[in-house]
Amino acid sequence: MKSNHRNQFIFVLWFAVLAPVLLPGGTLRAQAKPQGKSNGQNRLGQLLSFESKFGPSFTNKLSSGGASMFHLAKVLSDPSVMAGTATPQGRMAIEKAMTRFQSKRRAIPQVAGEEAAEGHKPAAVPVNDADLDYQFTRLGGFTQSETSSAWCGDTVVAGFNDSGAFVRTVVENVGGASFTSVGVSQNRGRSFTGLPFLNPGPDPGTFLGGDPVVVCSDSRHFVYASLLSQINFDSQGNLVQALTGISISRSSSSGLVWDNPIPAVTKDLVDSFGSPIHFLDKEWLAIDPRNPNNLYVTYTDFGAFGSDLVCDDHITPGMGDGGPDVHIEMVSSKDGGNSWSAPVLLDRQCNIGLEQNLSGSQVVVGPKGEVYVAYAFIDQKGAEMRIRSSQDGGATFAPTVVAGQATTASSLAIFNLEGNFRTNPFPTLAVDSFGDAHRGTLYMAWTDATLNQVPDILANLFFSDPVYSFGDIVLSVSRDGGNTWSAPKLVSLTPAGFKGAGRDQFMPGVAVDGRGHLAVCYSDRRNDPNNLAIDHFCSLSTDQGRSFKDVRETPFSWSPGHLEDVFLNPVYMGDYDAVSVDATGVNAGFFSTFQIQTNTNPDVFGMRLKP
Amino acid sequence: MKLGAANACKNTVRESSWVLSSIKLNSKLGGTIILGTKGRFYPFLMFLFLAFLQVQGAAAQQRKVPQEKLLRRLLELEQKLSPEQIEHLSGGVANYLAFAHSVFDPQTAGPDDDGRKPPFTLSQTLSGGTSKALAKLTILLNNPQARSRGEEENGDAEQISDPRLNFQLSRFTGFTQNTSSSAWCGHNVVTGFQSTLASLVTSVLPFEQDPNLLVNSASSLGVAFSTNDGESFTDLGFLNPGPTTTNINTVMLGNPVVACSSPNKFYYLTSPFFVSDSSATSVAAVGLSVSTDGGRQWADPVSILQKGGLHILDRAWLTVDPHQPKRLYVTYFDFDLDGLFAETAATARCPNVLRQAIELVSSSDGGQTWSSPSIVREDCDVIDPNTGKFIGRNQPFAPQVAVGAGGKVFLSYTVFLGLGAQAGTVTLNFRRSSDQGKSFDPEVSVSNIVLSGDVGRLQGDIVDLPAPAMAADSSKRGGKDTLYIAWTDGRDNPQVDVLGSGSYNFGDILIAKSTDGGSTWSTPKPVSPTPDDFAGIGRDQFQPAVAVNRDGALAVCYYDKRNDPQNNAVDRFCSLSRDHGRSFQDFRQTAASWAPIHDSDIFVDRRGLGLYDTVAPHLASEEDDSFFGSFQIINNAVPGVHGRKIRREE
Repeated sequence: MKSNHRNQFIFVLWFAVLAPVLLPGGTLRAQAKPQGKSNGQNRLGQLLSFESKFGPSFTNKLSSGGASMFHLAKVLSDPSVMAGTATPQGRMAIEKAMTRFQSKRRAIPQVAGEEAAEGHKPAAVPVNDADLDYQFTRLGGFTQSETSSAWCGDTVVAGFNDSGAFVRTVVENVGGASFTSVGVSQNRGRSFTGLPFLNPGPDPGTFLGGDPVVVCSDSRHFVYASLLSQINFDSQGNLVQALTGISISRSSSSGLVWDNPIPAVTKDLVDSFGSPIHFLDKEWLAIDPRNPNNLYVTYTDFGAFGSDLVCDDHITPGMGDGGPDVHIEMVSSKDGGNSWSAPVLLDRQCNIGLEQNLSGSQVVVGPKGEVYVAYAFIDQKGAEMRIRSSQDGGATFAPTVVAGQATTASSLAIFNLEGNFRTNPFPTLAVDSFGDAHRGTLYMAWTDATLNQVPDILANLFFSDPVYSFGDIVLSVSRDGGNTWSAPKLVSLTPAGFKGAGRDQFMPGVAVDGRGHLAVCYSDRRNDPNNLAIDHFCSLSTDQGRSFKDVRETPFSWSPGHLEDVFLNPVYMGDYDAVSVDATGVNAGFFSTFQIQTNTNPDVFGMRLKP
Repeated sequence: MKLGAANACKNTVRESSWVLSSIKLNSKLGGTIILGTKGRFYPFLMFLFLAFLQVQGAAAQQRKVPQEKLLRRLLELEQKLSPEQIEHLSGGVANYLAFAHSVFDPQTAGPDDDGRKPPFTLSQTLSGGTSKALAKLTILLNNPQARSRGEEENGDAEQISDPRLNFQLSRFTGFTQNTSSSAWCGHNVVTGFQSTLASLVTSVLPFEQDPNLLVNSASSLGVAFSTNDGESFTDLGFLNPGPTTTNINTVMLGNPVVACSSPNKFYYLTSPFFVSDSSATSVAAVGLSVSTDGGRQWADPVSILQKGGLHILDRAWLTVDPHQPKRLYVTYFDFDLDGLFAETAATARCPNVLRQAIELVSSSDGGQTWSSPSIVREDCDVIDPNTGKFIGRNQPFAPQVAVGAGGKVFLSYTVFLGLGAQAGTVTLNFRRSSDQGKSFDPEVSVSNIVLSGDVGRLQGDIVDLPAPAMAADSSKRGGKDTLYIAWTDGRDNPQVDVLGSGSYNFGDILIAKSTDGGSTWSTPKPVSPTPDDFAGIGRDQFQPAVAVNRDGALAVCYYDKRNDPQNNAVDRFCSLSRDHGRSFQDFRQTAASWAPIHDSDIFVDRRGLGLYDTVAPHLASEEDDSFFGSFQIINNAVPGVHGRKIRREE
């Protein structure tokens, strides 16, 4: 079996090296073809069928991880991208770079940065190993961002998107490829060991696409969810399978070693005619605090025509010209991730004209095992925060509740903030699993841009929207299991002394620690009157969100680059930075992870916080 | 009030009077506001009004696209060009093409996963900017004032473009100023630069204020002047694009080149410069603006030559004969598509194929009249005469012109060779004229060029195509017709790279010298090699400028990433030589290295960090610091033009 896999072309770079030899004159551009005939082409090329069908703006509706997969598919379908590696000099270059890299690898794992001394003023510590950047190329592979962490006892494990992981998994020929990586701390987040990539397993058809979510049950056992594609060809180049899915990876060694990924859910990416059917995106993962064998994964399924005919205008008159049939779904496992249930449909939307979307689900499990799933309905006017709850482990769900509304930050028809990078109105959700008086209280935060809007003539010219809307982080609380929600409240007002027209806050994360204290962390431009340079802040509350105290986590404001890494879509800034608490309830406080760009090079940093 | 026209009035020497007019604002929060604003009235507004009455009926049916004919024509021309030729177009043209695509052809408007190209629909009901912001901007533009040096600014590099003008009307664009050119005569320094603020104010704002407006003279260029040797600058906001009338309107897109012949008289060259006549047929031109008061006020631009609508005249360069200040030379690059269109194919210089040419025009009366073009070099695409199949092409590119002590005219340019034994190589070539551009000596190859980065793409996704920077030593002591040409070259530090071509060639600034008027050239050498103690693998230098002052001192200025071991952050350096290029001493021009984030402004050419910047000699001075260099600094993703005298530090 393994040798069969080896007979296949090893993902993309190997393909780029070998294809010109094996496929003289052949084009590398992947096209979906009847019968899936495919000569070792760019595996992700199968994704391009979605854009063929729905147009280029389809990608705008995907998460950062999903959009990066599509971008990668396009990057790799350009034969010039890796043309140089096909030459004898190019192959020598790879050998030379690998030699250099492997000598480097012998030196790691290592502490990625200076250890922050206990008792001193907390400081941001490096999470990924920044020394691995630029090992093989100057043009990409140096971006680490979009973070999630899990904290159990002394161990903190952070996951993040990593274009460098992709380069390393491909160049090192580890089997599959990974766009995601790991940082591990065994001293409660005071220092981290950066791994080179999250193990994608030996199958060259496996690609871990990013959108990391990490959870834990004790200081040794961690679970890591990622986007997954599984695309395999036989030795004749015929497409054997093209699956889209969500994977989980498990570690029983405090995150230092990871088992091969397991699919939690897969669906057919394309049908037998090469037409797109499904793309699974923007997953979230939760673990039952009472029973670590209970795992829940939610995600968005961008279903295409053929997956369900209800969105097809031929079947359902009045649906316009149709569009993806978008689902929010959930799968669950009762055995720690070995086996998974069939998908449960939580919500659906015909994304007509790509203007009515569902995405950004987050799942949490309450102290009694109750399951909550929050997600956003997004249209051209803004977003609606929806939530569904289940008291029976996800078997049945109560009706959808709308927790609040959001005005899209920036302008209505475009997700790009000032500075020309993308953000989103996704909700972030936490439940108080520990406290007595407030046990079971739910907290939802999101970005809302209702309060500070300034006229903008360009937004008006192109987007028929007369304003630029500055994003604020708002918080809503439910004390009745998600049935009713408080009016959204600003977490951190624009400072009175702010000199500019406004400042954007975006990409919140929320968590409740063992003492019932609350952290809402987010990106914030309050320190730049021009609203461009970014900091990461956490607003901490000891009174269930009634009042907050802000903590600045970044040692300096950084300028947001987003065009520099060839592997990332040109408006990439990640979609979220999650904040974690000690899931065992032993340690008080929070662990926050976020990116800092140093002269356009993004790296992940983390910081422990106590109210 | 029509702000663009109002300030054009300020820039031109015209009589003006105050009138009250109104701006209609639609506010998302507050409904419709009618704002009374004082502005300056300009007689041609009346013509505009009459003209628009004629088209109002059609416009009421369907919103027309501003500059529609010109934009459609450019798209038509673009279809005939190959990707590499399109890459050779300057940022000004690229920006305009991107705008055209976004309006007419959103599906191909650019990289399709970047989230910023939704299916564009121009608003049916346009509204103006904010009353407060527009009023503030109006005050700043109508009363430009010198800025005093801010304590927070980068070292002692003076900010030339005025940051107070940024972000008044939009968060998305209007805050990028780069690609600068400076000239220094007497105590006056004038700096021209590309500016999305200028585009916003002259191209977008008028259409927002008047939904019936269909054409409008527009400028993508900014200008600032100093009266104290560059110690402080007054930013005018935009270079006067000239009047819009029923008969003519002009669009000035980029490539600023500023020169002076006296402390009062400054010239500002722009290309491409499109002129639309009464039938709305556009012609390609090179535009020249003149100021006779040290850069405070600028006359309406004039075409110094015009070609038909099937040309793009790009990357023009201007020089003034230092010994005959009324004698001007302009060279430019002509994308000549006459051969590709049926109506002109028969009479085209390259029948049935594309022609790419470097040409020269001259004036002997201070720019009032101009010669017809002389061809410095022209290349016709080669096709198989039987099958018509394309065989190959040579592509000349990015010319510069200089004048020597004896009045000889020197031209240098890059050629991408696609034909013959040297196909695939890039050369830097030179031609000389001893009769004021009427005829030329044979072409000389100065050097081959190894493209820097990954075939011209630098780390950080910065396109840097090789263009020569040339200066002639017209000093008494410099020897007759000593010439210097500098360029970016990747030959000295190639590194293996698994992406792209397989090799990343860290760029150095190389310089070649001729002491015989360009007949022979020295072996190129780096102005400032990578330091031995550099902590990283390599560092890029790029976009050189070169000048020689009256004392024969040589200045070579360029961007340099030497202070960042990861080769990301950028500084500006100048290397000075007082021994005619034998040795150099480096001077850092920036107090802090900056992150080269060049895609924050959605209307900017995302390929690179502008095209060039210049260093100007002070022709009246023989002091060491008699150079003024302008360059960009990107401060937290906001690019602005800065400048300073090049001082020898203690």
